[in-house]
Amino acid sequence: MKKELFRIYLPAIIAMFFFSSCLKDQCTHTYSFYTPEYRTADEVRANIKSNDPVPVTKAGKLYLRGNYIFLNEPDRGIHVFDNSNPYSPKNVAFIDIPGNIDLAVKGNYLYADAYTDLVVIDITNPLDVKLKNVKEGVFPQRFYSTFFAQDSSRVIVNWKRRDTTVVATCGNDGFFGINPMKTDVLVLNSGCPNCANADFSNGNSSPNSPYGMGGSMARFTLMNNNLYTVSNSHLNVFNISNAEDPNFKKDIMLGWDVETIYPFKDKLFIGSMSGMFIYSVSNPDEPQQLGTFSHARSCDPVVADDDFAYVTLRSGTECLGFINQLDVLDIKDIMQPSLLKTYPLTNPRGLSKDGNYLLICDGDDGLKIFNATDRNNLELLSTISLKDTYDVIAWRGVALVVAQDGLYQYEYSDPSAPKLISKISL
Amino acid sequence: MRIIPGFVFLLIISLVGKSQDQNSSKPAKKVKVNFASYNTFNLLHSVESVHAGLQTVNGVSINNTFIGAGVAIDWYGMRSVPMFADFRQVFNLGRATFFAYGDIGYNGPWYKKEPATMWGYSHQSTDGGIYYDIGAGYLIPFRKRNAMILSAGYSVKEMAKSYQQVGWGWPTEEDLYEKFNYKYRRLSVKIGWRF
Repeated sequence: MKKELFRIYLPAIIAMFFFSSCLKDQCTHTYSFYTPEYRTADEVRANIKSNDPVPVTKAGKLYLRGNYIFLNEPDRGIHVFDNSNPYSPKNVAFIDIPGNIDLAVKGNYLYADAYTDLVVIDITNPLDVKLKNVKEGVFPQRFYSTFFAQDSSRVIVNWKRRDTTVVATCGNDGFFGINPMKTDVLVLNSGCPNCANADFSNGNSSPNSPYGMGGSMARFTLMNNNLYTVSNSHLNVFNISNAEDPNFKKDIMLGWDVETIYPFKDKLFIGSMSGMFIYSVSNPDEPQQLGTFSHARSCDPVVADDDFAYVTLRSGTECLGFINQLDVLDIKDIMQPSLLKTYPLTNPRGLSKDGNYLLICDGDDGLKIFNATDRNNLELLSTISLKDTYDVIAWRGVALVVAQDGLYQYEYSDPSAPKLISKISL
Repeated sequence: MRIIPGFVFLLIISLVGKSQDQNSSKPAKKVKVNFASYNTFNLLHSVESVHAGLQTVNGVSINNTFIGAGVAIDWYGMRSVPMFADFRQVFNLGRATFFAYGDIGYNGPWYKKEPATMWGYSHQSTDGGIYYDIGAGYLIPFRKRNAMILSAGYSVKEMAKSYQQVGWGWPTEEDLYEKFNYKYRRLSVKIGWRF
């Protein structure tokens, strides 16, 4: 009996010893990270020209100037489209501007940010643009913060994605799960290792004016002989009497989470997450605050007409808050804007006003066209179903809409039945 | 793939047991088929921690061979619910009754509502994986077919968690995903009751 016992169970005992050497948890963490591709400042500047057109992969801010559409691709540059035939716009060039997010056009000059710098580009011939000037360090907020150690002698022009798998701690120490140091959620490796602090952009008037026409998501705007830009916290004032050589005049502290700037007459409407600021630019180099309108914390692009301002409030990860609505403000008394009426929306972003029509990008609901003749009773005329609409410029019956999958142009002479006239796919 | 030698080992034990039955000169026994239930409290022990588990295995015992299905609650690491097939071979050696067992199956995640987003990440899924347990023990009979179970084995369960980075969009707008794979390897010591 004992003999049988050993014959059967000795191997089992040995096997147990074999397994006991393996009593250690094995955990892995698979993730992606990005490494920067660098160029020297001289190499970057030499490449700010009309390069061959490239497909748009991500649409950013938009600017309409004459027959040309300037479409920003965040952090990469500006696509130039010949829109002389809106039914068939042509991708004609790409201006390679690393770190570019915003743009504005006055006359034959395009002003764009390139990380912390402001670049001035002659666009007399959009097929052969020329870099005219670089103002270094005028947007100091555009640095990489936190843990990212950038090579400050060179410029990041691209990011390469790399996938990796590493051994991770299993977060499983303790006795019966009792460990005062244990966290319930595993710490994710990459976190937000280096977030860009701020971005900037453009302005508004009409595409045929010397200033071109920007969307409501703009952070750059032009008025008379001044370029105004907003960062996360400041209003920056440049005098561009000499268009090729912008002269930085001053910056004005606005508060935090500033998002957009919109010009109307001699006023600047500045949208922030906590409210709207109205500044007078009767003295263009010295903007003066006239009034504010506070609202719950959310993102809020603004447009305005004679007596009313239209503010879209949206929620979301970066916007916080829970509000998704359009606020119509009475700004007859510019010192004390008052709320006229609120309209519920889904997740509104950019908006544009063309005559009595108000066009609103309402996230995944698409583009909504309202009759805004009676501000107390906006009438929804139509909804164009588009995915993740971002910004719109409405001009003379044509709406230029940036959505997740493309840049669309709709003709809305009959606003209850807008017609698609072209699409540039992303 | 350490699981394979383990189950080969079990099979050998089973065959050796059968072979010994066949080699014996005793007359052939009548085949006995009974329902059996093994219910245990498990101590799951690795070099990193100790956790607990509960398990029930129910099935059919044909002579000394048992085939059944089991389900457990396993608190080791991330709480989970292993569901598995169970094979046992019992050896009656005098007054002591020994057995060897092997389990193989799916380690299902315990449902737990996670925050939609946390620190810029959204939890996508918690996925289960393979579960196996192999070991040996003995039964201390009392009152008819009841027995106390004592066993030790080597148990492995696998799980995975996926996250998507949301909101930051930096340095690109591309969606980023992260995945954690967990392979918990531990000694499972069980005490319980068979009926």
